[in-house]
Amino acid sequence: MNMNMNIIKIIAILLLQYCACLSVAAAELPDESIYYIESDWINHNNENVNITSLQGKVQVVAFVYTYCEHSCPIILAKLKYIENNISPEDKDKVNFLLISLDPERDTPAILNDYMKEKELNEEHWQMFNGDPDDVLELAALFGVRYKPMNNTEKDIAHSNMISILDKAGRIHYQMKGLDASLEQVVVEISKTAQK
Amino acid sequence: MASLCIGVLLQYSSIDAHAEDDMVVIPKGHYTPLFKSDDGVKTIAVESFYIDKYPVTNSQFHAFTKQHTKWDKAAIKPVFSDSNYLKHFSDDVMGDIAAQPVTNVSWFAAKAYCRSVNKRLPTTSEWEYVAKASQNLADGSKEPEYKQQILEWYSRPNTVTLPNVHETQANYWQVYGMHGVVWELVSDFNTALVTGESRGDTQLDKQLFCGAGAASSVDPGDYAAFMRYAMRSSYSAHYTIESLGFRCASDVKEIR
Repeated sequence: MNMNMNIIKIIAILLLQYCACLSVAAAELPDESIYYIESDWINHNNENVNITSLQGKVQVVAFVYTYCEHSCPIILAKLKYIENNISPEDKDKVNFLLISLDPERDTPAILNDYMKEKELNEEHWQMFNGDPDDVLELAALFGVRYKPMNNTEKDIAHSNMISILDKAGRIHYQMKGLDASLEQVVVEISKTAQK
Repeated sequence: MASLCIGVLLQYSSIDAHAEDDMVVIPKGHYTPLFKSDDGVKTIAVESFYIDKYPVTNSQFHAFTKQHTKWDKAAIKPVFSDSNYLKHFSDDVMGDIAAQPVTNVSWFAAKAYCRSVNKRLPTTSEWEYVAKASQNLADGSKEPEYKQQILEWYSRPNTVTLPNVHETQANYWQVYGMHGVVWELVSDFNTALVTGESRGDTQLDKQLFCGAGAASSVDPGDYAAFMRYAMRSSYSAHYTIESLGFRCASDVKEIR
């Protein structure tokens, strides 16, 4: 009986702590946090993910589509370069997030195949499929523009941008264009990961 | 059978509700975008949809902010709007501005308003399709004087006082104030691709945009449409502008 009571007490304490953590996180969200949008996504493992759950880690974000043959492979190569150049102590504080601009074709299964084919480690990488309206909204928050083309490949013209979100969801830094300095991105990731 | 009938009835009644709700149905058709793609596709099919007869007014938007306090002037987060959000709302008394189109709202706020009434923002294609109607014709481009009339508004400075939405001009579809009142937000403004540095150039910067080569070749025929395009391509979703408002749209569900 005593032991049972103890277990109940422990569970109660754990629950209280968990709730306290949640409320603190919500209360402490800074005004500039993009996590106020609260949209729901499906990741490459077909799991539902609310965007607010990304807090707590630095997120390196890019908008892509998996059959893109032009700049997306370059963006991916740059993201991998960034991953390989982050210091070991920062690595666990950083997550890479790829958001599909073509949720209709980039189903979670296709995203999963893409992750495997490109050898993206699930521990640090995640891909999102979402409602087209939510994609538009998230892109708007990042200042990313895109337009589905009418060419035979059905390409999507889009801004080539890599964004760094700090742990609370503020845009800390954005690398615009393909020629910008990757070293600077690595430095900025490290700066915000240390906070 | 009974349940099928009820289903059909329900759908009819929701459409009727929209009709009473100051919306009109726009039949499907085609819209010719300003920028053409290399493969020669010149028109975009527009499905039938509902659109508000009038732009959303100050009093409607005010009521929304009281019900959804996240969008209240005092509570809105800077990530969703710049600091001029609803700057013309001095207190809770609307007075003369009640029936005027709401302005100083960001794209995020406009989108949330439409969602709160089970609607959405119109797409660029939908908006432009409705906007090309003159008073008498679905395709106003066949009336040279109509284009001239629109251009005169675009070249006029902003007036201090906006008209009440009911006092604006109706077009062929009985949609009021599409031109000459305020600029209006569309859902997909961020699909208008013109880089900040190349506004005078129709070639997109290949460094910044994947697939940019496919988006060139401009049709310079419709100057007013070009101004709207330029407005959309330089707009950021948290901007508020004194002369920028919106109206909502919604899908027409296939019932047969």
